[in-house]
Amino acid sequence: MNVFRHLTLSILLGCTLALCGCIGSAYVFEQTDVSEIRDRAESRVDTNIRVSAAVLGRQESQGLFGVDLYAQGIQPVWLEIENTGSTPARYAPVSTDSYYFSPLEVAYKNRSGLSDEGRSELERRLEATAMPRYIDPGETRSGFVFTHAVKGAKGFNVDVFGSTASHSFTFLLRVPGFVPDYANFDAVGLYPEKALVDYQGDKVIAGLQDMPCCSTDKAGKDSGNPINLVVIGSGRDTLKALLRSGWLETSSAEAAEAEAHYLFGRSQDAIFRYESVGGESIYEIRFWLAPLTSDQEEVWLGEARHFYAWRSAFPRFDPDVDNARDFTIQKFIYGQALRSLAWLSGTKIVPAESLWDRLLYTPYFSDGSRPVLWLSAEPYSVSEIEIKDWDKRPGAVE
Amino acid sequence: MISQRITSIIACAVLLFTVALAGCAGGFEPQSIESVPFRERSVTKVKDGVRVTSAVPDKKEARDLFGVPLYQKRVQPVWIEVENRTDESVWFLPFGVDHDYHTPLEIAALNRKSSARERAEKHFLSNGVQLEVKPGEIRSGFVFTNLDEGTKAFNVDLFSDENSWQFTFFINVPGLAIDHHKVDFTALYPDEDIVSYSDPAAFVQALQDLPCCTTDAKGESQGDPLNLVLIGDPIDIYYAVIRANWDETEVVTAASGLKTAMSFITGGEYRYSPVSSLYVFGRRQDIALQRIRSNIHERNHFRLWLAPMTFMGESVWIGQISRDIGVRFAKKTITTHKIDPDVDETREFLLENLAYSQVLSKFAYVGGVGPASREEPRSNLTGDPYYTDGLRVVLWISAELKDLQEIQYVQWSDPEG
Repeated sequence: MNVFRHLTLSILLGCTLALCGCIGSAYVFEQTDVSEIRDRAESRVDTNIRVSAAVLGRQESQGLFGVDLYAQGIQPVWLEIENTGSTPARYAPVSTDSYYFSPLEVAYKNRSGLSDEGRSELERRLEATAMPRYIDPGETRSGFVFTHAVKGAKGFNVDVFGSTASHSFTFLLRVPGFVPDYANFDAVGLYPEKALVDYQGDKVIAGLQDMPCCSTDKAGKDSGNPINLVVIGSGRDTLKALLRSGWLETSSAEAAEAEAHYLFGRSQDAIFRYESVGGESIYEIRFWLAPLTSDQEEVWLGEARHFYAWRSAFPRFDPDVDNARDFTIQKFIYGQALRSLAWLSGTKIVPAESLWDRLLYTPYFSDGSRPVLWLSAEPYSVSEIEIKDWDKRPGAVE
Repeated sequence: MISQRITSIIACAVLLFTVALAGCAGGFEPQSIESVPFRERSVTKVKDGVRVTSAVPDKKEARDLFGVPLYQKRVQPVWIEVENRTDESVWFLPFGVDHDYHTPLEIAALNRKSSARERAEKHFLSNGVQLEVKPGEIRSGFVFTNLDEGTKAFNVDLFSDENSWQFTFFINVPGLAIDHHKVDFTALYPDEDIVSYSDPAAFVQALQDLPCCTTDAKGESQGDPLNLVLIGDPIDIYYAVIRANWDETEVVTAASGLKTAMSFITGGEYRYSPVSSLYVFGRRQDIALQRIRSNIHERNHFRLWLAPMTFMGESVWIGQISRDIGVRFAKKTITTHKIDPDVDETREFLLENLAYSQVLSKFAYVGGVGPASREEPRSNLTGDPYYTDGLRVVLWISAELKDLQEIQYVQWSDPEG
């Protein structure tokens, strides 16, 4: 009896599975024209190559491709390349994302639920809309590159090679549908003009050393974490440098710790985040615009911290805040975004011993240094980085 | 009956208690660096007043040094010593060794024995690296990197106000049976069987005359298209692919089969899983490499065979590349990877991948694969369809790093497009 029932069930199951392939749904997409995307695209020109680029949001991608690409971590980037030269040009998708998805790979990832016919249509749709590699003389070609999804703003390159010259274009584009903290930040009116002191040259050292050591809680009581770096430069250049170095915009709602940190009586003006490939490490920088300027440039105070997860859902705070600070500096160096560096004091010296001392316990330790960084919006070679000889570090902690 | 059950409950409790005790009694017992001889394998490089010495402990040595099974957690310590003989401070950047290096306290958290927390944290902190090396100083410590089995390839980058240094290290780590270590390249062909070409036209003809595709072991059925030719010194080719982030693959053994099965189930990252064998010249691939993307289902495979010819005195390799896009059930191998049918796309990816890794000096295209259209695709050995313009890309691998602008295109045949 039992055997029969099993057999019947198996046969039923087998049939259902076999049928699925035939009776899956048809492939449906909106025949959206790309003129709206083209209208908002940013363009760059270098001699005889023009590139326009735009990033598609989740809804747009779904409409255009009929499948939820974002659910697979795939973000389509629309490109248009015009070659007004006399020789063929070649576009390198690895310059945009070194692990880009191929069109048929995207189709394969999204095939479930579609009928056989639907699957072929999806494949054809993706192949037909993919950005081609070759652009013949006098031609304009456009299409999509399938990249790994990021939120907020997307920074990427588009490299095009001709027979004699190569062209590299850098784009920083807003991804529709995400609002980072800094988008709500308005520097205008934050500090009355007369309250802003401008410091010339090295005189800024004194001004910076007067800045508070640490962030606080909302009541301004408990001292939080050390303000362990300073960035000098406009908000726009700093943003470009951060994005080029691989930092992602984020919002307090998505930060490793939900509570806001306070400085100058307000919560952070912006938060940026980097998560390691394996996901076990999270670095975060919170920024506040400082009430002073350096040679008329804006000054940003930063709180860099590191969290680690090791497969736990709750990231743990790493008490070694100096490491978080140093990692941040290196990330700028390798993102070719650091122009100059100077070492200052400013935060508290807290020896590592206090981690293990019940009486003197602190949640972090630090050598008390607060480096000052001048970032560059354009790529800046590592060998040209200037280290200013201010060197006002408190003695290093052993 | 009841007394039997009680006895078994007691037995279980005793067993559990013993297991729990064993966990506590083990403690955190790292050994001193002097007592673990991994530095016998160290490599030293010197340039412009800076000396860098580096060594990589293997799985057992890492456990001895740090008291926790770091390799199991996919963490690999790299020991680095920097001597600064210049007259200004030199800054060492662990980021260059691994962009996602782990911090000492993050690693210390892997020690689960709470009684040893303080000792573990102190041990890892004192074994970490210092970024600044003052004039005349020698500093050493460990960078906690993500695990690479086989050859560990990394950069040690330093800079001062006046200068910058970049050292590239390739350090072999014992413990992994790497595929091509089993092949004796010098014994593959007798000298008289190797044809030396210097005339490009004759060489192009010879390349086009090579088999179109891989075969099965018997040489009966045709598999994936042979759409790559690499030219260069074998050691340069080896360094080039490692630099371009390709991982060596492990020879199939019982243990590696188990590791692959586990990563199949979990979708986790076992980067060295053995690849199935394909045949050319009557033998399976000489070298198999793979480049993982985000999980085992997303990787590119690339196999090479040494060809019985040289061009301008350099060795010539023929190869095959495919992009896995998912796992499917196949008749012959139960599960296998579904490949991207657009094999030319994958071929062009490799060209760009090597160009951006700055290891490519020239490239060209020749025929030999034979075209297959999208409407009438051919199939590989596992029944995956593919289509192609029928060309193979010829890649000259450079011993020195080449800028993208320096790469030359040699016009033999043009790809469609």
